[in-house]
Amino acid sequence: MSDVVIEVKKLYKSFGGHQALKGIDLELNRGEVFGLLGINGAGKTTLIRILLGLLRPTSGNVSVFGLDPTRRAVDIRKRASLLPQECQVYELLTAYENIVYYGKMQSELPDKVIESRAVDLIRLIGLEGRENELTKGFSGGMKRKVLVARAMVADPELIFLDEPTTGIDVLGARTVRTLIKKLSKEHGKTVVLTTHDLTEINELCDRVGILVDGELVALGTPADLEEKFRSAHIEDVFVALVEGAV
Amino acid sequence: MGSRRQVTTLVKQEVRMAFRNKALIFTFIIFPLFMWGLQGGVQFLVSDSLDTEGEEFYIANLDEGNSTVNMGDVLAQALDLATHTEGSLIYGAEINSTLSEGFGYDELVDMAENGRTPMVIIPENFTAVYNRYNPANGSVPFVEVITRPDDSFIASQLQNQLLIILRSQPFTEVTVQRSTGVRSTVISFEGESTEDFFTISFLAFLALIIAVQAPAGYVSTAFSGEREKRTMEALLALPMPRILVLTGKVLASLVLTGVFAIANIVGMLIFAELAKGQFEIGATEILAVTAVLVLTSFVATGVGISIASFAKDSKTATGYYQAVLLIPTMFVGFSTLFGGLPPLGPIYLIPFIHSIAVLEKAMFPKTLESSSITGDIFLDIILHIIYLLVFVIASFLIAARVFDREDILN
Repeated sequence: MSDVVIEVKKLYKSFGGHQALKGIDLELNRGEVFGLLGINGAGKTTLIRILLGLLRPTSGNVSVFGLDPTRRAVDIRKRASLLPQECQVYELLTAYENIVYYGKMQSELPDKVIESRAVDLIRLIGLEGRENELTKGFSGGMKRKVLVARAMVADPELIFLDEPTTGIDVLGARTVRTLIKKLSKEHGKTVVLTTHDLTEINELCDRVGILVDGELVALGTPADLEEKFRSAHIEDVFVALVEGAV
Repeated sequence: MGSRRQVTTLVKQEVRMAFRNKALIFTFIIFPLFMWGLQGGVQFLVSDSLDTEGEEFYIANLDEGNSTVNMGDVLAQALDLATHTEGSLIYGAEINSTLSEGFGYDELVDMAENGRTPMVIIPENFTAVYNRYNPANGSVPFVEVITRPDDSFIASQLQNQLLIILRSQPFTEVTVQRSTGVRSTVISFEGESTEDFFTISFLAFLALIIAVQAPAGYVSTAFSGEREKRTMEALLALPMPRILVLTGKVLASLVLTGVFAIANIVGMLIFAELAKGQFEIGATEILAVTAVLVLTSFVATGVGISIASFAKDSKTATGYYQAVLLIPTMFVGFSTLFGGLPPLGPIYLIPFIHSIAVLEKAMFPKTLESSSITGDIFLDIILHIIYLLVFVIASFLIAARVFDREDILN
């Protein structure tokens, strides 16, 4: 089995006259945690949506698990899950119901396995005791935790996490980061992570791609990029690239 | 992975959330109960605020009868009994029977025209006509029972009480036509009652408004609500084709329509009880109205879904829904409330008039020649239903296309 999970070649996407992605080339391997950096509107969400077959590329080749997302989106989504950037929970469902609902919709696992995984995830994200409350009474951070658990409940091979720790308290964010590490290192899951927290990138990501105005201007491990751009921290690299200083 | 499991799970969650949504509970359960109950209550108060105690009316029974029975007497006795029966429409009224002697039919009609006291004139051939009634050879004899003047409350109550008596034994074959133009009660032995016709038109009007209004909340929440609350992207990123997501939502709306139908049946039973005497509603009427109500609600859901798919939030979707569906519905409802179905014309482009057509043609196949399409009433009903179903399918196809746009994610 090939280790390449995602393969993108010369990917372009435009919306009307606006060019959202400009010739992206990218390859991601199994078990890798890949950080996608960019300011708002840089094209991160567009790229993720194309990889899941939610948007069609204007041109270029895209393959996920060796499948073309424009034709085999359903097959790809059976093995991949998404935590969208501004996604909300269903507020008229409890935390447990939210998680189980997505598990049953996404995976072929038996109901009992899904339910058991949901209970484990609820404990892991620290919502034990509140799992049967409607989520409309939850804080923003608690809702985000539910969404993180929901993205993981179906045991997907590939997980897209668009700013997973936004709004979560320090302890909760640490729990999520631990979970991501565990998924990648112990279970061989591939994770594509976008975040504005650049320390998170250093802590979690094997490699980083920096998108500026639809172009992938830098790609490598955090250490490689720091060295290449002679910066002490990935944050400096990012700021320099966004501001066009390098 | 089983698409069935996904669709079932989706339907279950949609229904579960709907039952936790106070606004939806209101539109699907409380609203129909309230509407029917309110109407029934109004009818009840109207009838209860007026009573006939101490009022007087004449009975002039000219019926000659035959050797064994005088059906005019039977009718007169039933009216007399009603004046002593608590709860009847003419309870407490007094009967003056002196006019049956020494006056001819025409003289009595003249007296009724010029007098102030309502008069029931039972013609001399009443029993003869009653006995001649024979559905096998298609003879349609009729007699008139005149209750004039009919501009008083007692006259109106008298006419309605006659209606009730003529529906009971031994007059079960008799139906009554009363036209305000003729200003008399015509008893015929075959055909359709305009009184009944108004009842069903009224029920159809109410059912139409309720059926079109009910899905608004769900349709807005289920589609544009997903966009507004930012749950749409995660939903569409699930491993199921969008058409299945749409199907799940539509099936959930059908389940809710079932709940809605039950609420309406309960509502109609309440209405029937409260409006007893003014509207006679039986099981047939309730079942027919419910069937049309479900069909109409389904059409409204279909059209509503395609509208809601264009809107970015629930409020906008509800606004579009009201403008596109409720205004034409009111127009159709009022157009058909008093005069039956209009002749075939552009108004038939509005789908909901076909709902009323199905109901009224099913209940009154002979009355509705003006709106005949093929001349065959059964075929006409099928065509009306086909039009509605085509509308539903077209609406779902439009919704599916709209649902498939990339823009739906924004």
